[in-house]
Amino acid sequence: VERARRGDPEAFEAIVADRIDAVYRLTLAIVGNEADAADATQETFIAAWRQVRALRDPARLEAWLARIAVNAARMTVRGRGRRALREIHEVSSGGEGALGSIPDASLDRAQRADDDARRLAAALDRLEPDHRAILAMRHLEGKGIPEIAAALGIRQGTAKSRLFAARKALLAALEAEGRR
Amino acid sequence: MTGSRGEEWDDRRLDAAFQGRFDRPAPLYLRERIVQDVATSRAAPPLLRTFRVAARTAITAIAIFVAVLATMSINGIGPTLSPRASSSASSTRFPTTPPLIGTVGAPFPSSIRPSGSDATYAVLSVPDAMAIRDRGVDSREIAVAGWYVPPPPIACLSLGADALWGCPNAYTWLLGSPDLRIQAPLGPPNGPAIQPVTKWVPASTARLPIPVVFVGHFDDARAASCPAAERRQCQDRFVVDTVGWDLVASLADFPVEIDGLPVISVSGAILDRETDLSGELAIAGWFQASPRLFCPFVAQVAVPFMEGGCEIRGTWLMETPESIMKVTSIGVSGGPPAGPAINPVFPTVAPPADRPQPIQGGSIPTKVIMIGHFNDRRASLCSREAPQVCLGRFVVDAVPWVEGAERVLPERTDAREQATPAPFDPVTRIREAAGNLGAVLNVAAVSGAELIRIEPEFDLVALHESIRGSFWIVTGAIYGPAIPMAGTFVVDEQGAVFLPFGTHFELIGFPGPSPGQT
Repeated sequence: VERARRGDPEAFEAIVADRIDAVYRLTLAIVGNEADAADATQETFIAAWRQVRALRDPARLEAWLARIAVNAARMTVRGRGRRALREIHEVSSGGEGALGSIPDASLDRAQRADDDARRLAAALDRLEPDHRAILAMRHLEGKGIPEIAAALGIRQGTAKSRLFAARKALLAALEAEGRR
Repeated sequence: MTGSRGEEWDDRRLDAAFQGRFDRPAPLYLRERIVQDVATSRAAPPLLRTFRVAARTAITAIAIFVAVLATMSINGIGPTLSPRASSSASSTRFPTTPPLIGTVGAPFPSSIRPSGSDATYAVLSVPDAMAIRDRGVDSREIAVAGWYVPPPPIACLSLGADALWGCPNAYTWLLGSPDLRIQAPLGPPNGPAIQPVTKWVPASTARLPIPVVFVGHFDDARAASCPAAERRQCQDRFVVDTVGWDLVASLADFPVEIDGLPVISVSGAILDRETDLSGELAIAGWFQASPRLFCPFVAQVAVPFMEGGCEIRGTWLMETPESIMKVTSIGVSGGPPAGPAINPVFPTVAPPADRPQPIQGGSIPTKVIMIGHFNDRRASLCSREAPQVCLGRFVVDAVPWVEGAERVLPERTDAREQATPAPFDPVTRIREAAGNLGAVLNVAAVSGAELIRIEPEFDLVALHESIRGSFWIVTGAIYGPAIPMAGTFVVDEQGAVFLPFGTHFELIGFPGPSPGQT
């Protein structure tokens, strides 16, 4: 990180290699589709490269990148405006074919997990980007309150109340999706 | 936690659903795309420091090459490189004329108006210039942006710099991207490049690629007198008529860093603005205040310093010292700058004093560094103009450097009608409350009414019962875990409130002084 701060592009490329999957996952959870997630990931690293000198504490790289990623993803969602882009999910055939040999219990579990994932994506679509961000940090990245607070630049008490509000909104959205 | 149809959505189930939906690796192409973008972003303002860090290494390497080159020249082994060395030998024909529109990004201006010229040029990238060159005979004057690699100090036997072919122009390059790993001047470069013919000597002594815009032409008439074998090479040389813009010169004489912030150019700041980050920036440029204008029909607005009055749109911080107003016997005329520029606004600090303007002739801008930020939270309150326009305003928090003179921060101003001394030191109060404060940029004493004009949200969130008294506004930057966060501390005898400028932060209240403390 120190080398990157001094403007060494190769050092920064190593950071990209190390963190690209995590940033992509986080932005994907916020923007909801792969094309926008790729754009937001790219914008995150370009912004990070331009701002890396502002990173005063190299130990906070992860939180700093997450913060830029959340901003980039929020901008992407904001910029999307009227463009209603929704990914088309693969739908299981439900037929005998290839799935025929899998035991029923495993099949049930797999189908339920798949169903949950699709419902979650649809429910997240109804939430504000800020809610999606905090939920993704918690449930996708497994971050604790102090890490979330650091990444969002807010106090821990605020992070806690925002997470509570986001989960409440998610539940309501899941319920609405369930009724469809 | 209960969700749809009375189902339990506990943490484990949510975790699994998130993982199942979003735990995917980034696409393979993405990393390559980012690395390429990083490579082409190297000339962003911080690169100037990279130049300095890398200069010693590069100069050592170049010195070795120069020794080899000198030996080659003395032995009559001339360079055989041509601008098309990395492309096909035959001329590529493009079916259509490339449009002459600005095709470059930062740090270059998209258009330039060279000093002493009335013509404005769209600035082209090196690949676009190569497309014009390769279309056939075309000696139009064009502006091309790139990274200039001057020739090494080698002994050229008989040909001078005016000669279109041979030494030393064969070792002179204008690169399409700032690849520090190229072996120039031995070249050819890895990426797109053209070969300029110029006597220009850059201000920087480091022999590293320098961001520059050359105005010139291909297919110079002198190519006809080149030896037949070299004629094609001569036609392809880009004869430079004038240097339209030069990053090193544009930032020369500015300090590299001020008050803990790296000093960046206006075009670099514009890029930062696009990322929606709300950190503090120190921007070097040329300031031109608006002439006094009469603005009728100014509606009542919530944030007057951002959208009140027509003079905001005529006030500029420019990348280059453009003369944007002309004073004649019948009045003042002018327009926006041709190059990169931003509109600064000054809620709590005084704008830098204008240079004395000529009674007749072009305006002369003032060379300044301004500390401030884009994407200010208060833009959401803008009404008359779109909030997006207000987000793009550069809110100035301090002017630490004017015409080479550094000012001591924090600057103090008193905007009250009846100034009375503060019963406490607001800066000390803030430092006690905020702990790890980064920099205090300015201190302003204001009345309650003025406070509401500067911080319109304050009446909604204030911890105070009355806004009729005096307040001290301290603009400070807190160096948090990531980007420096700046905002207004509103201080009175009872305590302090910090209202960060960024759109993604929230109010922080600080307790008042302990008993007995003043």
